[in-house]
Amino acid sequence: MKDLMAEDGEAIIGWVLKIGVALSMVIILLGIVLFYVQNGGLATGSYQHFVATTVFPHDVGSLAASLQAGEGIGYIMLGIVLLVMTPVVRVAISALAFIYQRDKPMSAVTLVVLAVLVASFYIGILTR
Amino acid sequence: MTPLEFDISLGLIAIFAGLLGSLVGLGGGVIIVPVLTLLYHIDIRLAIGASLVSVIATSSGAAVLYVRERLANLRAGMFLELSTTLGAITGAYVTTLLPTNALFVLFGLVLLYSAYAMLQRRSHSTPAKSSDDRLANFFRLHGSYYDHSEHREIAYKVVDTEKGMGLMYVAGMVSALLGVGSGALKVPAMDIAMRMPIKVSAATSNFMIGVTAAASAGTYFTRGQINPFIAAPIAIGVLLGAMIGSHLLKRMMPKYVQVLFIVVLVVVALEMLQRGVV
Repeated sequence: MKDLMAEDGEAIIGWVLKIGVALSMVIILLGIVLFYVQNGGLATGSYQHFVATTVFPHDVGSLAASLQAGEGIGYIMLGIVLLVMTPVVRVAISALAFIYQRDKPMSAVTLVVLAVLVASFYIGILTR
Repeated sequence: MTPLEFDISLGLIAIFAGLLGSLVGLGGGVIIVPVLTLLYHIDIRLAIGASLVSVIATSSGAAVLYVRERLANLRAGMFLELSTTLGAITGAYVTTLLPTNALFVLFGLVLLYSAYAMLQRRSHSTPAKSSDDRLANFFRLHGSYYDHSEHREIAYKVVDTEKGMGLMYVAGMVSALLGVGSGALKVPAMDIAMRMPIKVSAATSNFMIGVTAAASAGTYFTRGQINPFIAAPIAIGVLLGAMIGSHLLKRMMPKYVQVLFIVVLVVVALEMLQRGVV
């Protein structure tokens, strides 16, 4: 693993990204199906009203609760969160690869980018 | 229109957007946000949130190709991400200060610039053979790639990194403000300012777009501006469309299609400007 990181971290990154996207898509689709089943097909009413009034979780606590209750909407949100995380995971793996390659400048750069990415989630909460 | 019809129509349009975007070289965001706001009358901030998710989907989905081909310069890309992500955070904050009208106007202007850039298609810079750029040398951002049409490995040096970083900061801000990938800003920054080969610039840009969008998406997500009913069908559709498009990409787009696309861009730009100004 260490040798793989040092030589070809790029291959792992590509692989991880593809799996991450595929996995999140599957979860989103599962969530959509569940949601339609749980909410009667949604073949009536106006979409404007639907979009404006239907509640969806958008923080860790409510997402966890929604998933525990087996709600389709929770799975859709989970899939979306996974999708948004794929570039973050990619940057983290890049950081590891640079560290294994003992490339101090690029390790530092990558870690800073990772920190900015993590911080961005918190900024959303602060500026609400 | 019922929610069901909404989802299905959105999915189909998203597939088309992903397809068209991958063929022409612009991300789905440029098409998705105007469609959502002008056609479906959805709040522009929800449209941007959904578009950011789709941008991440296509970037992550396509990245495999570019990495495997060893076209993308991962070192330079990651280094420039310092700027784009900081720009994205700035943009995600600034958007809370801006009235919705301003976003429409800005979007229209960026679309006009994209149309102009497509018309220009000015000759690309020749790769630099030497560089005294301190940043590029210290972080070893230079690279090489195998050019299939010339059948040889081409080495290049990166120059003017500071200018590139300034441009990337702006690109990041635009990405966060408008929900687009900002490839239209990133590629010229690398190609013309930093003199990276065009194929490398395009591949690196595609690779970077996902990270930039993720920096913005985080803030939109926690602000509750990523609505799953909009984001989900769009993300799936655009990804499907882009995947189909990348397989069709073998052939070059006939000129008249490019011209048609430019016309459409201008029309949509004017519509967005009108929404912002009226």
